[in-house]
Amino acid sequence: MQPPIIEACNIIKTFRVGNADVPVLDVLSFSIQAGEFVGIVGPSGNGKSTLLNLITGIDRPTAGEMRVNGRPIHRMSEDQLAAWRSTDVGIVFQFFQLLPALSLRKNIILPMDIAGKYTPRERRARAMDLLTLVGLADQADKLPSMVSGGQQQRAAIARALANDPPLLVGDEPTGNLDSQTAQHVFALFDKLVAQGKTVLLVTHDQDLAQRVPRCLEIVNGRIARDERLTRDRTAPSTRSLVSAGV
Amino acid sequence: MGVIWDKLWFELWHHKVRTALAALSISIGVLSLGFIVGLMDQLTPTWNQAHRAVVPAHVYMRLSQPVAEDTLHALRRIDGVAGIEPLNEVAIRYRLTPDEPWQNGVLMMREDYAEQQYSMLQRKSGAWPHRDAVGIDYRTADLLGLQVGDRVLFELDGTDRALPVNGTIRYHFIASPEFGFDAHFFVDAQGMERFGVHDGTFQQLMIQVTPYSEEHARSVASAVKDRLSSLGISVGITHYNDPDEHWAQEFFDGLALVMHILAVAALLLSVVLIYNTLTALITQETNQIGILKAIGARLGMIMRLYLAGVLIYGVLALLIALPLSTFLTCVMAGYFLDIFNVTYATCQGSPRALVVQIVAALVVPLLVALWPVLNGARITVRQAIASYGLGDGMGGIWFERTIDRLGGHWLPAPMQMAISTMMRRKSRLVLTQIVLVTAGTLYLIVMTLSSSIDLSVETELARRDYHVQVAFADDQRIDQLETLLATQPHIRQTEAWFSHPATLLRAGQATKEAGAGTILMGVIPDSDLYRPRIVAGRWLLPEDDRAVVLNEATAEENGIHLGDMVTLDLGDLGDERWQVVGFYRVLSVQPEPEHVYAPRAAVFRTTTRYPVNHLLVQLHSGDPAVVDTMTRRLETLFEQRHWDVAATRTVAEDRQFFANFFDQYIPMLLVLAVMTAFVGGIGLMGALSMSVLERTREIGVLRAIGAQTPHLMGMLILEGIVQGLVSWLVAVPLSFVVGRYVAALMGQVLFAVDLEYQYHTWAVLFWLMAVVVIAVLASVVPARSAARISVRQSLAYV
Repeated sequence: MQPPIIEACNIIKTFRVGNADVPVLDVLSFSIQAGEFVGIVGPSGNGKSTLLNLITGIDRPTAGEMRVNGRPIHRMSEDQLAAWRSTDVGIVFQFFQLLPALSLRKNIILPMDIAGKYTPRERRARAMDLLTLVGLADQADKLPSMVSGGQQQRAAIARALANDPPLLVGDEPTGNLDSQTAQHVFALFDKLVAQGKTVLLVTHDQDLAQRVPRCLEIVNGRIARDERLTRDRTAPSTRSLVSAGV
Repeated sequence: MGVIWDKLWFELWHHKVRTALAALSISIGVLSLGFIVGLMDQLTPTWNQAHRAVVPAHVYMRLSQPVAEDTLHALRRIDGVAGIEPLNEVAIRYRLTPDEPWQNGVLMMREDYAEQQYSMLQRKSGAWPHRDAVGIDYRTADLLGLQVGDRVLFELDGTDRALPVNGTIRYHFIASPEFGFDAHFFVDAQGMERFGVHDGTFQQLMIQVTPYSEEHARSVASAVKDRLSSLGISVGITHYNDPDEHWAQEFFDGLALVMHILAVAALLLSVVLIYNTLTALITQETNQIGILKAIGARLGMIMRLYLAGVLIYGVLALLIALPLSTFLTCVMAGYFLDIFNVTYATCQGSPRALVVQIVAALVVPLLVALWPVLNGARITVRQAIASYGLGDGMGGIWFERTIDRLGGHWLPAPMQMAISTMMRRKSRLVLTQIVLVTAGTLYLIVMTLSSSIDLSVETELARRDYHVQVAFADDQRIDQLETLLATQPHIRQTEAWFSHPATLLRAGQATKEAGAGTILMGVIPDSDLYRPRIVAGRWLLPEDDRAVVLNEATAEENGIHLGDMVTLDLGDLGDERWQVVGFYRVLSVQPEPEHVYAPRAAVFRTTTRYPVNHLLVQLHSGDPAVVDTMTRRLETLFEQRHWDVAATRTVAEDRQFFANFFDQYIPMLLVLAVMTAFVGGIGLMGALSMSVLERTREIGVLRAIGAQTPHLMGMLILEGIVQGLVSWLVAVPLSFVVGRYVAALMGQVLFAVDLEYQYHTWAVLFWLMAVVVIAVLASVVPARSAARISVRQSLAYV
């Protein structure tokens, strides 16, 4: 058996509020295998996003160990984490977080530039391939402010895939989209899992949560439930996504 | 080049106002430094070269009586004398038409214009003067509208003598006639005979020594004086010239000091503005820094990105500042060189100014930006995306609570909101306040300097309780003068003095030494008409015998203290020891021999002569028409009796002279004050613009809940006004405290005078209005931007 792509061991995370330390994650351990599609659910303020931030190296655990793809990211410096993120993990934010100054295509080229991966020609070609994958090839040279929220989110997913990372992480990636668009975006993730990517999503959407094969429920900073679900695999294909015009 | 740089270009172009503000903030310091360094580089070599070009005499001596060529021959053999060129210089009066009043002037004669050796005159147009034609100082000609061929009337034995102008001449050692200095005319030896100076005799000497050093020049001057003394000739005035340093170098050094201080102040203000602008910019970009880090960008890359932006701001600033500073340098160099009578041929660029500007535009902003950029780039992804902006550690929450509490009770809601938003970025608030307070303080200090000058002039003139002063070319009998004046109308009181050139020698100094050239004034001790300001010791008493009151500066320079005995060498009138009983201070703005005041009776006793040659006249009315009429009447009266009048001067003319002198500088200082006000405005505009950009979402929400354009604009303008008012509240007491010292220092450095201090209270009110206007103007652009933000834009804003 392959080692897990994510391995959290006795993770504790506290935040200092005033003079008190408020625990957010309380001795939390789990592991996720490569190629899994995992949803993290739970009530607001119970530590879902914090957990995601620890997995992506955006934040550090107060105690415990976090290994991603075999790397002990809890020990890495900010610069090491940045370099690691550029190749090993793709992040999709709730509010898309595309750089407003760059066109969709350049937003996708940017991570490749930063990582120094591929030749410039390959970067341009790959950016167009990814935009085609998410159905935005005809919007490539538009600024983020000129396209819809759903289109921005799809561009954000394309950007997350730019350096072909094995792990894709989304923090409420559909939280800012209408239900139909959310369905389509979710289908895209589904497709990526089918292609071998590991996807980890934080979501509030119960319908979507029921469609992920594995669900981690965080309540009061602990894993209240870790279930592998049987789900309806009728997600629309990328082709249908494009035809839907999302 | 990666797409990351596209972001940079986009941001620069898309946020044009921000780019312009950042470039302007940098350019202000660059411009000031470039202008001042460029100006110094233009002026110093140009006027020192002009100085060297005329081969200045090392020593200039005015003798008590004329000497002939044989005496000069003897003097030239003195050890250390490289050469002596004689000249004559007499006070004359001239006018352009018979209807005009006489004007004071100076007539100068050189032995041979074609063979000048020292302090050479330079012909600007026409020919050198000859027997029947005079030359005129070229700028006086411009001022009077005279051209070659025009005629000037000279007073000669009580009659007008018209002489044509046949050439214009540059005399290096006089300043602009616009300062109020007397007009200079030039004649040859035969022409000078008409004015009572015999051909072949000379009353002034220009001496060159070898080898040159100031000490050697003084030593040679002492030897010359000794030799003249043995011939029964005394030396009235002795001047020394450094051959390599322009005669106005001292003034220039003072000006340079003030300018450098202002340049450094401008650069520091600029640095504050740059820091403020960049901190705001980085704060605004925090979210994007977070995104960049989230997708893998490292600290170095982010720093490079933003520092490259700073470098571009610097290049833009350089493009703004470079031509402007070059233009200003050329204009101001021309202005200053013209004041000091130096022909300015071409304006040449200064490599030093170029280097300074490049460093100030490209290196300084990078250094200033280093901290905010590093601080911003170091932010973690979580901090960047979870919270907007950098933490601001300045101040304490108690302060905000107090403001809130007070605001809640006493302030209307819009003002309370303006204050609380202003307080949100305390470090920016403090830096903006530094800029505004500095601008306000500088303005108030400049105005205080101006009012101190006015007070000093008024105080000085208030000591002159006479209306007309007459200087006779020859000594007059008191009884004849008094009898004549007693019959004249409008005269309330007169006072006759005796003046004589004297050399002041401190204790231990031999009479033959050069000493300090002064004029001994025999005055009436209990006079009401004039009394200088005594700063130490006392003024003369009627019972004083050999007591003198010296100029404070002269005493200081020569190490003379109260109670010391000094020797006054009066040449042919002998030398005696006098006791120093007091020091006076006088507002004097032109280099002239200092006066040594002594009781007239004591001077008479010492010299065993009883003439007078100086007259003060107090009239019943100070009405200018009466003063003018009486001045002319007295001139005519004296002419009819062949009492040669060397010069007349009214107190009104003295006032005008002071005004002419100081008016050259006050506008320049005001321009600098206005520039600092401009810097303050830019600073405030920058702060408010950043505030608008940061609050885009908040402004959108306000829009969404019904805030209309006037509300939004009013809120921003009010915030600007509050900032302006706060800065005013700080600048006023600050300028009051430091203004006294700075005005005194600037008085000393610029004009070498001790000014009477007077705080400019009207300027306080004016600055209040100005700062409100500046605040409103600075707020308008950001307020308009705020008003243009739509709800959709603001909510899409990340």
